[in-house]
Amino acid sequence: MTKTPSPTRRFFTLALYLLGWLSLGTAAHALATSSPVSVVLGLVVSGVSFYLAVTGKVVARVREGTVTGGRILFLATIPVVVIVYEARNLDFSRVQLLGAVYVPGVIMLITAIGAILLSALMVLPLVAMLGTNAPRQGSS
Amino acid sequence: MPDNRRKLQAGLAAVVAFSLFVCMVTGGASARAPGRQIGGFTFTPHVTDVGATPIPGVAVVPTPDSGQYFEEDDANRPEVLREAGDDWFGYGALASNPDLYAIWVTDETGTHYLIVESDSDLIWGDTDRQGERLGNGLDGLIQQRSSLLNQIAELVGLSESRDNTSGTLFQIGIGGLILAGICVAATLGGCGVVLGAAGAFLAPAFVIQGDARENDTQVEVLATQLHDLEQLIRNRFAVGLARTGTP
Repeated sequence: MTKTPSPTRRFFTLALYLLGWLSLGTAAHALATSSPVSVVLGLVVSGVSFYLAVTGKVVARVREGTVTGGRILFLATIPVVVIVYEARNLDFSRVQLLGAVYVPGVIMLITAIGAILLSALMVLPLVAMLGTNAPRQGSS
Repeated sequence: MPDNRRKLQAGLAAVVAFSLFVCMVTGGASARAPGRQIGGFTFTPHVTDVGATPIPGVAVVPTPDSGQYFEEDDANRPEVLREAGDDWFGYGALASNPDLYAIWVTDETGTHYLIVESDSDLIWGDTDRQGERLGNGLDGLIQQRSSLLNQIAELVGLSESRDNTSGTLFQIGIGGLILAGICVAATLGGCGVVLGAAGAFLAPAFVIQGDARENDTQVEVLATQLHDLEQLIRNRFAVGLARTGTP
């Protein structure tokens, strides 16, 4: 039996996957629009993020029970910021430009949809954190 | 068991990465299919004095004459030296006879060609009673279209560049935000510095993204104007067909 990761660690693992996805999307968009610097940067950040998410090396540093109250609220800003940003990129009309498929628009749309879904998934461990890490009333 | 889980996660990551690039590659193939292509600036909206630009598909050319009409796949379509426009809308002298011009327009059924005299009103515009041109010829319309295409290409390029900058800043900002979150959760010191750095990247990312979306709106407006202008060009072509009695 494997031990189920804590909500806090699940949250950060998802956050790293989200960062990996965003960076991969940026790299793909940059590749489609011939911007080599952004391609390299995006691939590096994406690779590091996926590596850290898979190996759990950084997430392992997170201490259980330390994320409470205001800190949960702070963590919640991560998916909120991503959703707000990607919602502005969620434009289905950009899939086509002057009657032809517009590749950078397609990539941006796929990136936005994936990022919004991953951000929405991050709400679950946040809710679980509220349940497990909330300070107990009346405890001495 | 933990190994299996990690393998599963690694597989998921690989699938995610692979799917995005496959989407891009296959999408790229679609975009390279015949049609206008703005991204990457592969189209040439306005070409003048290019010399011989033969329209393919010519083997045996019967003597062309004013009023003749050809479809794009017609083997008898004469060779044209393009003077203005592009593969979709334009005009140019016939290679075999500079006194005759071909004008062409494209609609959903393909590209259509009409042979006219070199001084045709269709190209240079109708004349008023004083003999002055009215400016309603294909020449002016095609120049306007080329100008619109150039403006659109410029705005799309600007939007792409801004999206790249914004996306790069955003990924660094979100990375900083996640790092700050881990910092807080791991009760390490100096988390505020990381958070501040993240904010320094996120703020301009949003501003530049806003500029890019503003560009997109302008592109949509210009694309609508282009659509209307192309309809005007088709109407002008239809006038030519009506004058020559071509069905």
